[in-house]
Amino acid sequence: MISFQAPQPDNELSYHHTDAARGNEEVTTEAIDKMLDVLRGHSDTKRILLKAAAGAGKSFALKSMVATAIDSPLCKRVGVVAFANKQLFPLAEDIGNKIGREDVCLYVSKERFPEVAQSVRDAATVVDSMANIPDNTKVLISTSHMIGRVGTRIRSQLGEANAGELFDVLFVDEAWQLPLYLYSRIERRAPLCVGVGDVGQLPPLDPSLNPWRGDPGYNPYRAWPTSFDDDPETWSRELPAVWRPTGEQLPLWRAFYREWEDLNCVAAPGDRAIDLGHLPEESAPIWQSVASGTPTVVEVAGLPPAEAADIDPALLRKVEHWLDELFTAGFSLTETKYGDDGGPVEPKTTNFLDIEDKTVIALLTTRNQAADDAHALADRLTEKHSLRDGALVASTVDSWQGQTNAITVAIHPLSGASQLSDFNSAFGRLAVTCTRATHGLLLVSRVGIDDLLSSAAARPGTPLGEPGIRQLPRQTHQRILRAFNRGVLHLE
Amino acid sequence: MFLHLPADCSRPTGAHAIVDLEIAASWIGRASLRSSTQQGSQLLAYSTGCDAFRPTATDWEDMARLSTGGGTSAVAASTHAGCERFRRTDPMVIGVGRRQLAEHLGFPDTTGTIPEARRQRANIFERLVRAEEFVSPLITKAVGAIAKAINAKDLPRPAAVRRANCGINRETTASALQSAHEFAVSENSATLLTDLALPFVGFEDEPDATPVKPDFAIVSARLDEDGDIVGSWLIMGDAKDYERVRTKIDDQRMLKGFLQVALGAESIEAWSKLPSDMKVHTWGALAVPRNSFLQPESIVENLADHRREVRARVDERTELVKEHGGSPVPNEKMVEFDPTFDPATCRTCSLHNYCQSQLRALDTSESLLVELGVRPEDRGALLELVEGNEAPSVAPASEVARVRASLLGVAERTGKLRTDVAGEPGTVSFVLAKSDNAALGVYGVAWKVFSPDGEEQPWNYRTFENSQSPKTRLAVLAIAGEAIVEASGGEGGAHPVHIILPDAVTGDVLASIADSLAGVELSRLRWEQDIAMGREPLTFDGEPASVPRALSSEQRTAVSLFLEEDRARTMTLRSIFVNLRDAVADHFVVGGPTFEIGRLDFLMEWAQGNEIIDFRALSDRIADEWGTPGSRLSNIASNDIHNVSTSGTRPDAVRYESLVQDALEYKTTLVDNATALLQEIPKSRTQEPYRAIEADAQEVWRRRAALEASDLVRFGRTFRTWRNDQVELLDAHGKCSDQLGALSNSRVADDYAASAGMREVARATVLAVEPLEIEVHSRRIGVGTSAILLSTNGKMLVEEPHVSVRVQKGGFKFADTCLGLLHEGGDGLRWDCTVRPDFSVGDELVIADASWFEKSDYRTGHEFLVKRPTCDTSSAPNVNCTLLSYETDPDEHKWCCRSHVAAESEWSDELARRRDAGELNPETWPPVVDEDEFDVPASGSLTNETIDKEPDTGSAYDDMTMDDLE
Repeated sequence: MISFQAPQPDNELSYHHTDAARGNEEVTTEAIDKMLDVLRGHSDTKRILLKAAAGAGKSFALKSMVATAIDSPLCKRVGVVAFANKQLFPLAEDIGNKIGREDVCLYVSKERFPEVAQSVRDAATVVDSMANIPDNTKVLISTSHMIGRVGTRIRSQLGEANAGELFDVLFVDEAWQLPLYLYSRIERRAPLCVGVGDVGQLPPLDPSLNPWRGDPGYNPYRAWPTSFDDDPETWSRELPAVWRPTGEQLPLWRAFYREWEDLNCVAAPGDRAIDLGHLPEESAPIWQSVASGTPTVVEVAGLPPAEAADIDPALLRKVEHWLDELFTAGFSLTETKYGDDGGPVEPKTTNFLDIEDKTVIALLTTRNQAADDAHALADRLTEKHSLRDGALVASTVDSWQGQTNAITVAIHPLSGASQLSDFNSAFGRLAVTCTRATHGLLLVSRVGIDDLLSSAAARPGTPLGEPGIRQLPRQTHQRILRAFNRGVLHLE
Repeated sequence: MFLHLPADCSRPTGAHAIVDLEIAASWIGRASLRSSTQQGSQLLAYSTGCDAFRPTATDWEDMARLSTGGGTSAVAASTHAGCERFRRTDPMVIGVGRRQLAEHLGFPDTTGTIPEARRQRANIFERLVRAEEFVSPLITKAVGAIAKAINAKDLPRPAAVRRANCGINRETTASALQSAHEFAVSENSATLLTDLALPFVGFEDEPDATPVKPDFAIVSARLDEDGDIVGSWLIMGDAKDYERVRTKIDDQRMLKGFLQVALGAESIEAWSKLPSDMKVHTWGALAVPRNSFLQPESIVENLADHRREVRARVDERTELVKEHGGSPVPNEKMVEFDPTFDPATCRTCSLHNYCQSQLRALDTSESLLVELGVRPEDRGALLELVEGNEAPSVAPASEVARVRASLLGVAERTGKLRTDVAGEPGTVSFVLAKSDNAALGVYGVAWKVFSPDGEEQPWNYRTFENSQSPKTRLAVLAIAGEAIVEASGGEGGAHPVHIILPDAVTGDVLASIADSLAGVELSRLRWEQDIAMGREPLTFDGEPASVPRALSSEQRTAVSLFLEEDRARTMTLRSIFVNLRDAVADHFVVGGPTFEIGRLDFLMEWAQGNEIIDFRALSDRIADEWGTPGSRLSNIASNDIHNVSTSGTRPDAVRYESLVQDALEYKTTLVDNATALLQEIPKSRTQEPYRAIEADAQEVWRRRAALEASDLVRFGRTFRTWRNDQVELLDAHGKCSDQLGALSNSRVADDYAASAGMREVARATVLAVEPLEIEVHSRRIGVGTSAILLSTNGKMLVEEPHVSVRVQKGGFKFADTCLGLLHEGGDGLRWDCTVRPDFSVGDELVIADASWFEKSDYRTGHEFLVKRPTCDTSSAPNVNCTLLSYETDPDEHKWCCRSHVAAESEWSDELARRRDAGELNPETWPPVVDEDEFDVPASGSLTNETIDKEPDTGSAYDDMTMDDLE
């Protein structure tokens, strides 16, 4: 039997629904005003940064700014770039639908051209060669690599925008994923650069491989916006609301975005629910805790020893068993839809088998061997329960960055560890793991997290010289764990 | 937190605890000069005579019966947090120090003691921190850095500064705090309090408890939102003489320093004597050496988590004291608790020998793995092996091999062929004996040149009278420079040069010395320009500079090459420094704890394979060795040499020379043995590509050196566009290094095949020979993939006699290799190869996707190309640049061959402009950070060499371990 220790209460004031969403709207309006000021020549600002937490609805802000810029007679052409194609395709579709196909051009390499979905081609002009970019393009969407490489040639072909460069405004989506050395190749393409993104993304390069880590000077691999924190020509704001999590998950979000002045959640506690079928005794309390919307950690005691540090089939078998019981019992997801202003419209309940537009459960892992085992696990359960493709997905955390799913199940990075290390204290990766779910979050571990956190030797966190507030790994883990409903399952 | 008398206490009587600082005026703004008399009179009220309030370390021992261990105890507690025995043998709990306990148990501490030269360095640094001339910069830079880091509007620029010595006395500290508070509130002035004594947090009511003794704290004014002074901030500080390695202090050390600061902050905040409107700041300051002269600078850090960390340890100890405290006599019961042994980290604990002996006596499979330092999570899989069975496949291969070697007493050959160049023409073997009393101190060096014409010199030896003198550093690099020229083929020679070293630290010392001298040389060039323009030469902080002599041609050659090595340190294929330990370890898997395997002498005993090795006996023997393979000396050798050196207590030039020679000969013998051993190993076919890459790069370096253009730049001083260019270079090096590694080293190939993150390499098994069919254990390599064979049963294909490699301009072309398309087969995949070795059914292969390589679709069907990475040509002269190019056409040659003379002259003018505009220290606020970090003290300023000698107070260190210092 398992009993849970409730999370430490979050005593900060929280806003939900329209009260929360208003915060993002106000910041977006401010950013738009600032952008128009620059276009009018009333401001010397060179960069606008909108810092978002995971699931903040930042694309909405980006699209609004692109649409406003294009509407302005002061702006002839804007660019929208991101690090990876997969981020650009949905963005091109959204912007094309908002602004009109004839004004929006997605320029991709010949190699990626066939991967562009029909819905994107319907919404925007998609080209695979520079010569095919329409002359009257108002919004040119491409990767940062592409614009960095051929931006000058595109300018020669299309002509200069109003400000004498290729673009009047350059928008960078997922800005915190773009390293400085790539930014340096595109920054001169427009007099104003707008960066929008989740500041909690994984860094562009694994920190342990970054030779300039800890160097207070220029670090070509560092996320570019971090270099402009104190820059007088940079206007920077935080979007203070998140749309993705349950209201119950807000304290966890706050633990990850600790230095933010304000962080609220559009969903109020109780807005979303997982209605569970009849579950057996062992897994019922676990899934009930997950279904409550509160982040849940379950530690398992009494497992046979793991084979090696990152190879723990016994623990994964447990996870498979619980998932099997969940799928056997069946469940439905209840979700409140919201208007653009964050006001609740009406709740809707869907059986998990009928959900087609998103991943129901994501099983996230970090280590190679665990990833292979998790894939096999997902294949078995998909077959056994005749799940549609993509309903249960196994992925590494790094590849799942930017994705959303209803329920996340993941192995806690400290499971089975004997010391704190760079790997198990990579909080960017833990943040990505914990911020994907709209309904429920379950982290699983071998028993012993608290023992490890009380007995491990102290180790430094982010190196001195890196930007941002430095925290120590032990205390950061403890802070994050305080936002979880925690239980220990003792096996017979 | 050491018990040393401050410099000013050597004055007879009437010395005051408070010192007014005129020197501070420049740092706090020219308008704020103050009369020292005025301040002095204010402060007499609480200052007392030096002798009256300065107990010696021994006095403290006598006075205090409850030993808290002070601030360092919290650091040690965090380091050994997992060890129950360590926690329960806390001096606060058992009433005696662990070193005494170890002695009593019959296992005296031989691993955790502090060499005397190292004590001297710590002592000198603390006295420099207290020196008057550094008070002002320490305060202003700490306050300014905190104000800047958090944009603090409540932490103003102090209008004046002063120092108060608290004499390691609680009452004096309390009154000094009060006075500093009043000084801050009434006059917006800051005080540097030194030698504080505070009740250990939670023990204020225990008069016998030893205090926490922070080296310093800063008290400065605190403003409200309107900018009015409403109280004071106390910024806790401490001093640590951490060594800079290639200008950086590693973060683990900085963490320990700040944990110590945090304990001071916790203790002072809990103290009832803290003035009511004084707040302890969330940030703290750590004074560390900013240069090799041990002159201090303050680094600031947010202490929030550090304070939580020490608080948790303090609470743990306080609980234990309540439970068990007070036993005055050591006995075995004190150590009956379970230790958590780790051979690497436990060496700094005084009970290491005792715990190790217990483990050895247990003689179980588990205890053996613990003794070897196998991580707990890997032990399960390795127990099978220790118990005589096969290790399960999930066990890490390298650990299996290490444990097996430990059990058998025989090293395993890895099968890799040689790619290093030790003992070949164009090399300089170099060893040095480093002194512990200075960051860049050198007692002596030995070197041997193998010139390109095949002539091998005997070893040359040189001992330096004063290890810490800048002249010694110049002499070391003059020797190195001359040797480099000889190894290049004499003046004008262009043979690539490799420096053969016994360990990585020797290379770090050489590169750090080179960086130090480069800083001096570049400063000289700037100051020469100042003089030419009629300006006074000033340091970055605006103090008068004394212009040094220019580097000699040999010195400059060595500085230039060693900085080239520093810039190349992340380019995995570069090999200016060849670390013999790593080269030998590439070919042998040996037994014993990982900590020991890091020593070349330990490794060589295994590699030479003269007898079956008992790793414990060997460990003990090596631990007792007077000599060491690397630049750092054993504690005993360090003490022996230090004592007879000019810095020691019994200077004896003859004995000194002889001891340094002994230390060097131990190293040169090892280098000779290791080189000879390596030369017995056949050369790999990939050696030529490796050498070609280094030769390419050195060609560029020679152009830089010849035109003196951008060659005196360390890795950390490369500028923005240069770094951007390096990104792609690093990627190219990484890929080429991965490919050459996978082609020549079976361990690398196996690791890649096992890694799910490496899509291009996989394991395969031969299912049938005619036609050739294999089963590929990968989801990514299958039908339609062109595959290249890397190894068969651990034997690398490229080392087979029929395979050849040609070094081409664009890459390295391997011919007669086994390469072909995979097709659908019967049981597995049919592999059509033009050339193939004789396979047998069941052979275990490692294969690679041919598209991983630069080109593999040659018509011959058996060739493929590994791309040759380009060189770092950013800011480097091209082949057509001459000494006159920049002068003739500055615009065209600004980014290639502009010499340091031209560049530094321009920068000197720019600095002068900024200084005139008030944009530099000490005028500007907050102080600007000197990113160059050149190793240049101001003219006449106090350094480790010029500070008065003071006898080692000795006993203060007797209970300390390296945990306390490092």
